[in-house]
Amino acid sequence: MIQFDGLTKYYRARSGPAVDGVSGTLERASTLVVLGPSGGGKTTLLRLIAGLERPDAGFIRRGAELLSTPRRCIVPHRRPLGMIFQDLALWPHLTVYAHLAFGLQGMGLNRQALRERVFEALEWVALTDHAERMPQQLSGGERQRVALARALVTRRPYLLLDEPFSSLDPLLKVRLMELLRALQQRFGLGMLYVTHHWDEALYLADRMVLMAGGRWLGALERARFAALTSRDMLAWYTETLRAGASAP
Amino acid sequence: MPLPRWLTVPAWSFFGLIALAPIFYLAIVAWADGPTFSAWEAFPWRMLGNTVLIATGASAFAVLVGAPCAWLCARTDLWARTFWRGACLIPALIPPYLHALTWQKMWASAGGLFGGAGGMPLPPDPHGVAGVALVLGCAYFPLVMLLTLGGLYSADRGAEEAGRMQQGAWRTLNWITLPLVLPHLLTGALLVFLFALLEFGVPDLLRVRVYTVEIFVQFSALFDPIGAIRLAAPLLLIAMVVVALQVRLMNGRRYWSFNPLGFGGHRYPLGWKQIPALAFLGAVFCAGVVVPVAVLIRQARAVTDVLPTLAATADTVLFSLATAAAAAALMTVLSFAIAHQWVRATGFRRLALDYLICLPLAIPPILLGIALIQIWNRAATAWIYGGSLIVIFGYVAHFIPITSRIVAAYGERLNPHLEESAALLAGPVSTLGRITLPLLFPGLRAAFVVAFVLALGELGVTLLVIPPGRSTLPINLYNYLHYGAEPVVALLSVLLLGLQSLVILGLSVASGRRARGLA
Repeated sequence: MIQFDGLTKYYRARSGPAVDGVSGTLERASTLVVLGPSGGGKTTLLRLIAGLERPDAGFIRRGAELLSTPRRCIVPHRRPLGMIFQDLALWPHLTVYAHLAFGLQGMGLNRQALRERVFEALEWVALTDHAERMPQQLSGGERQRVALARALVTRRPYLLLDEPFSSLDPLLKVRLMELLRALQQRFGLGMLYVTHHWDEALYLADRMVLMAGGRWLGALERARFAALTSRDMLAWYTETLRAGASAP
Repeated sequence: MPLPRWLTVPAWSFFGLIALAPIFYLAIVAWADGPTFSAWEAFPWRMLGNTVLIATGASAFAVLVGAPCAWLCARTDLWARTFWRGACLIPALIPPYLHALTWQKMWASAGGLFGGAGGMPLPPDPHGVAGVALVLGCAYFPLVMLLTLGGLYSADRGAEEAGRMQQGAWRTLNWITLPLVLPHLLTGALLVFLFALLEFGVPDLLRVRVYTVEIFVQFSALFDPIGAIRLAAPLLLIAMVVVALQVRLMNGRRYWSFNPLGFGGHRYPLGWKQIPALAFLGAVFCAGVVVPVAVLIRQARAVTDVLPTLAATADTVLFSLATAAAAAALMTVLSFAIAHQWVRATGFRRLALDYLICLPLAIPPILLGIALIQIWNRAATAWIYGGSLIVIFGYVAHFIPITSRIVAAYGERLNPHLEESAALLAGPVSTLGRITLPLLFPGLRAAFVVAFVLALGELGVTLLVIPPGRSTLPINLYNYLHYGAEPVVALLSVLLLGLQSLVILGLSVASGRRARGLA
């Protein structure tokens, strides 16, 4: 379990905090969806957990091991996390195979073992035929699957996703969410999924949190939001936002 | 949103007439009457070898110095990195022949200024291939630094972060960052190679026989312009291939990035390595700026009658300022129209325009001067050839690829929808005057400053096209140098650097005020 407590991050001293005292947990084999309007601090929260930013206050830990504090920050690649970026961040000069092999280097694998691991991951996302292709030669959905395979190939137990499907058509989005769900169940992944689309949140979440102004304003468990209609969801969303805005 | 034709057609016509016509003239003359050399034995292999060796050495030195400077300033938590970024780019503003002058002086007084180290003169003897390469590397390394900075600032931050999620700093640097920046780094190296290959002032001053010096001798001593052009054919060919290579390498990428503040990516903590890093940058700054300026000032102090000397050059200074300002203004206008079209072009057209704009870079200044004389020295165009216009044309033809790149770098940041949305509401003139030009103003200002500074220090073209009875500051300097009046040369060099610094400083202050006003 990854636990974060009192996480605060300022980008500029004069402006308010991008993330303001956020606390929560991310558990194995479950999905926490962070929902909220743009500029609410969702991506910053993700970057703090990934180790791409250092918190100004608070801490992140996994069990007894401290991952981030304002004074100490474990480098991203030594954390038990994979991440899928909003723009996917595929490397334009590397093939699909090299994308996956990159993360496996330095793990003591010989060439054959490394190749097997790469193709195993490519099989998970049905891309074994595309190993030698460059990112520019792939369709939108294939790129998403490369990003997914890259994040999973090192078999890290947690996965962070920053609005990965925001630019896809609805049909492709549903297929990829199904794939993501299947992979999560297969590997028992703990996922933190950032989005501002309800449909994605409703499909994937075990727990849903609304974040705005850098703070967590409210949360819903699956048992509760599964019974809600779209109208009820909208009402909860606007009410929670309004209550959050009026809170000190 | 294309620019109106009444702007683009004259701009391209001017560009063709001033910058491209000399190239086509040279190409036609060089290859018109068959091979230049009656037998391969007569081919000056040794001289070509020297020239290529110097260019390769200068390029390698520039990469060794420029790339680490860029990386330290852009990707680490180096102390006072904004200062170091500016400081290490200053040597680019000092004309290469002034670098040569100071290195020559330092070497002559080795033991005086620096002393000898184990019997070896320090700095090394500049009167040889290695010396010229070193001087040119010192003068041009900021080009590599600038382009590498551009590559580092424009590299996809997400791609690097995705690398850092999986591997450590060193692997991410080698596998992700370096390949992303490689086109910029290699382009910088190729440009230094090109400029060193075509350089005339430095080898001439240091008495090293290279191709451009030989072309000058063929033209001015043997009065054989056609022979000079034919002699230059292999050099032209190499230079054109280098230009084509760098255009292909960049493949439409932005050459420069002017918004380092926009970079919010990871900076590698240097820790104790801050000290060697600062020592390295300090040494670079000293070798590129402090020492040359100090040597010149020290030498200029030997001039006893400073005011009369300066008064005697007043006309020259005014002429230099006027021609540099006029050329800079013309270059800025032309660059705007040309770069705007290039930026909005796609596919093969973009690549072709890119090559066409870069092509003038392949012409040695001496050869450009000869071509301009051959083209414009006619009765019908005597009013151009006999006056200041020919000097202005020379500056434009020589430097317009650089100013076009600067404007293009800003133009690419401009969202085309901004112009398109204005075009739905107003005519082309209003769109141009109220949307495009104000948004591109910082780029145009930067292009003007760079053009002005480069034109003020230009020697190679001016040396040949300067009209009788006129002189520019670099020509005065060059003449005094040959008379052996070294203190006066130093004084004029200081004056030249002072004028360039004043212009840069003035415009920086003005742009700072404007930025504060906008804020």
